[in-house]
Amino acid sequence: MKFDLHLRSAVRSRLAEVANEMSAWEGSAKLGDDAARRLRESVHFFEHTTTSEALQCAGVDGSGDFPALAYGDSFVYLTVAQGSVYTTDNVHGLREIDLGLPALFDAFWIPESEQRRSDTWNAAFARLCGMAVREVVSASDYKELKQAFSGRHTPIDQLVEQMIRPNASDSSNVAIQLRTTGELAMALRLLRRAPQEAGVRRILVFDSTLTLPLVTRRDVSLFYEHLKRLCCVEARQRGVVLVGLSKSHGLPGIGFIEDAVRDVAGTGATEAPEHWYLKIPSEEVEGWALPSTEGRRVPPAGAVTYLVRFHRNVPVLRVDLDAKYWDEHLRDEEQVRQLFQSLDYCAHDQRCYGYPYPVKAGHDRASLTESERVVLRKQLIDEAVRAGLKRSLFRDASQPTGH
Amino acid sequence: MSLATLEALVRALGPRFGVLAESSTSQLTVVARNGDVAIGDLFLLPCRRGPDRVYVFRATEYANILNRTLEMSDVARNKLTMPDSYFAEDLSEEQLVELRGLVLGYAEYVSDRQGWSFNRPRRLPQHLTDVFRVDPDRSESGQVVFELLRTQLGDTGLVIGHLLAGERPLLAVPVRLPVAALSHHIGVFGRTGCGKSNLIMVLIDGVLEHNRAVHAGVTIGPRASVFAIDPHDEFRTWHAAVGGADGVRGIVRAYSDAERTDLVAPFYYLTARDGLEDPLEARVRLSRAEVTPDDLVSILDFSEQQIAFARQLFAEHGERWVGQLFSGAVGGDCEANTEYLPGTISAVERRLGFLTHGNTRLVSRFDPEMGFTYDSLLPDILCALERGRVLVVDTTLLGELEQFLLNTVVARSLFALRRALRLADSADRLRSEILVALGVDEANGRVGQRSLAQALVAHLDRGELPYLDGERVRTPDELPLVHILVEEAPSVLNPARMRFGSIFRDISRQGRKFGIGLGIVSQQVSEIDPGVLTQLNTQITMALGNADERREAVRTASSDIGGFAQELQVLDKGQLLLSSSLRDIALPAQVLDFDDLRGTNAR
Ligand SMILES: Nc1ncnc2c1ncn2[C@@H]1O[C@H](COP(=O)(O)OP(=O)(O)O)[C@@H](O)[C@H]1O
Ligand SMILES: [Mg+2]
Repeated sequence: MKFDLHLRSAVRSRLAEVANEMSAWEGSAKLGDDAARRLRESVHFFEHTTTSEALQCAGVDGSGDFPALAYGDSFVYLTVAQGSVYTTDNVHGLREIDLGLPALFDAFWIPESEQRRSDTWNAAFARLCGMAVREVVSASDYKELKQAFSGRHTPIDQLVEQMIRPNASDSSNVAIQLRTTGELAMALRLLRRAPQEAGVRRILVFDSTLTLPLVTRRDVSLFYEHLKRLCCVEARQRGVVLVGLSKSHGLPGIGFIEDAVRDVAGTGATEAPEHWYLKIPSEEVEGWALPSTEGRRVPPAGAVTYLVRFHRNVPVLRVDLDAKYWDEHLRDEEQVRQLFQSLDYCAHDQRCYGYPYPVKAGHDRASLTESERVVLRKQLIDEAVRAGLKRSLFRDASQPTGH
Repeated sequence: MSLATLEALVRALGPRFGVLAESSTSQLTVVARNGDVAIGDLFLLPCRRGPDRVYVFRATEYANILNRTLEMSDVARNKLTMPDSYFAEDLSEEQLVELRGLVLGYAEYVSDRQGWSFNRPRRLPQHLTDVFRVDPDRSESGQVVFELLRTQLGDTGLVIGHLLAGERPLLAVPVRLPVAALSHHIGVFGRTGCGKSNLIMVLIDGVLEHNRAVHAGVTIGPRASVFAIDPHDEFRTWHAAVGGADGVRGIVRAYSDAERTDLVAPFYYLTARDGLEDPLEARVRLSRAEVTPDDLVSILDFSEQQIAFARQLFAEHGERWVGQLFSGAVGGDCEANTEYLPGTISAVERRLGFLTHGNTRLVSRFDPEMGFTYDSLLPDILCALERGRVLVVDTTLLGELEQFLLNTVVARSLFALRRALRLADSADRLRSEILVALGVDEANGRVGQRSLAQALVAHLDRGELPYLDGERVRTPDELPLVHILVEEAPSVLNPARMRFGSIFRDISRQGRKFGIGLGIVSQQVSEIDPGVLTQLNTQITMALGNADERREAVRTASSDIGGFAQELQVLDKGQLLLSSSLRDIALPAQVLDFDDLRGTNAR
């Protein structure tokens, strides 16, 4: 691109148009007086938390190489997920505990053939979760939510049958499927492994939301939707608070929300109040909703959503909780405050002040460096060549996909 | 424990250290759980690309690359500005450890030989290869290293210590000096206090053990002899006086009568002291009759005129030349000497002053007309060395020149004898060659070193000089390997001194042919004549005083020890780097502590 372009009036006017559109989008989130008042009422502050009672906080994250390699018209994808569990410690603040749970690693080969693709997807899901696809679907409460939100009952077999299994070359969809499945599968393993101790609050944080994109569709679903809800079910049964923590809240008009918080806190316009949370209202529970959440399904089906700010250096974070768990344990505001204080305590590590360290640890461990990707690809090719494949047919898939 | 397969080796190595992320011949990047590495640590990388192989890597530098995603500046800022912040303790967090060092090579299993054979590196280990650190606390790890390096370490020879892994010796991996190395030249370099004496004590002990094993028929091959000048009189009793191990005395005392007769008699200890403690000790004495101008040139500065004059005198008077010089009979009125200025004559006389009566406890007068007959221990010393003996020579009561003279005379005489032996094809021929070698030529009126020659022939005829097997002349291979230690070598082996020739230069060039090796012990490498350095087959480098010396040590070593440069800086007491033209790789070793080996607490 030549850089004298920005001087041209056409460009300038088009940029102005876009800016207007953006502003309108923000504006749509503008609060009426009534909504502003109710919003202010829902803001809660909590103490900066430097001591904690017995607490276990686990973090998980997934990543991979999507795709790592192309062989002819088939693709190989690598999935990695890691989890780590910390407990409060007088000396170190937090101390990791060993659950003896190895990192999750999977290599997934997707042939570009309709029928075989479905089988390989099922096998990959089963490897990652340690459960058959059908078992996940039947144990999860996603199908009940789907019935409620789509207005129709779909039998399990049909759900399994009609699950979306992307094409080998549809790398961005494959990537989402695999990364999310890997992360949730790791969460499931942690939930099943973590020791239960009386009087210890246990939190499992994963780096995403509880959004269920296809819950209103009658037939099609995504495997990870079932799995996400299965994690909710398992967490409930084990008394673990499952927290979806997301840096992108997906809400327009966050500025208005922060204004409301500043009003309550009584701080100046340039200061960022910290140590607060508020619950995103829903028609179902509170009987009103923010204009900005219209048509966006925040909170997601089966979930409640909070916004929280632990520290001024870190932006507002979104927290999704399982609605059933919330209903059973968190209707009392005091309980909610304690939960956020526990998270605040976990967010005081020097490496990521203002963000819960266990999630960062999971993230750091799961992410692949470029040299690791290169090495894994090489290794994979060497193995394949040993198994009789042709070296010349391998392509580094990161080139054509611009990965 | 059978270690014939890669699987068995890996099992014996215990938990892995990490996984190889990147490699070159001089650097490995390893993803590891634990960044605990010491300089000199050994790492093993079992590799299945092609035939089963295990690479051996030695780290000389390392760096822990902190958590890849860690931004130290953020951490520092948060630590500073957030008083309530903490640094959570992770379970053995995976780290990237960057190891710089040397791929020593790789071992490959050779089924014909049923063992691992070690080779110089050609290919490199595969990415993601498991990396094992050799843990000195696990004896199995040591055993693995032993099996892998076996072809480099050898199964026979004198044990001088154990292979170093990091700062600790691997007790399962003995480092040996082949006995044959004794008939080649060895350089031992190290500053004061680094453990040279202890090393020599360990070597002497090894030689004595070797001779005992040959005597008992356990080991086949020639015996070995060592002639060790001992300026501090330490090898006889070592640390016995302070409660440590007794030296050669203690070893010999533990022998049976028969062993003492066959392996030690007539003596193991020579001294200039008069009071002797034990029948196997002897008062050391040379005779003026044995000193030649060549000996003096090797240890003293002379001008060309002075040398010429001394040689002329020796040609004329042979074994009586020193006596002639001191008697004043050599002078202006003497026809033959007119070409020499009185200044030259008196200068030579002055230089030989240390040999005058009353000035030396080593060299006896030789003047048969005055009743001073030939009186020397040299023939017995030479015979002892030719029979496989360790001779320790206390020189505390001798001056430096006398010490060097003794060393030179013994070395030169032995060298002359072995040469004569080479030339002889019959017993009679041998007798005449001995005379020739010592400059005796009665037919042409040359006296040479007649007394010594006659004494040696007498010893030969009595069988004490074991050159004859009945009427057959033995070859040098049948005789002991002889090693002559030159302590404080720079005094006699520096380039300036060697300008007009040196007996040690001749031996350094040709000694090997005759089974005579020099042991050059020095605090500096740089002071030694380069011509001599190039002849060293074995170099033992211990802690050196400064960077220049370390650089010289690296330069002169016959195998490439450049990769060890860092480590030469941190060598501790008793630690050394053994490099040899007989081996592909240099071996770092911790020398046995002789006190542990033979002390009261010994095994
Ligand atoms: N291999 C060794 N193990 C333990 N101690 C040693 C070792 N070598 C030397 N030492 C100790 O170091 C000191 C100096 O040793 P020494 O052999 O006299 O050094 P050098 O002859 O180089 O001056 C002595 O106290 C000795 O006991
Ligand atoms: Mg805080």
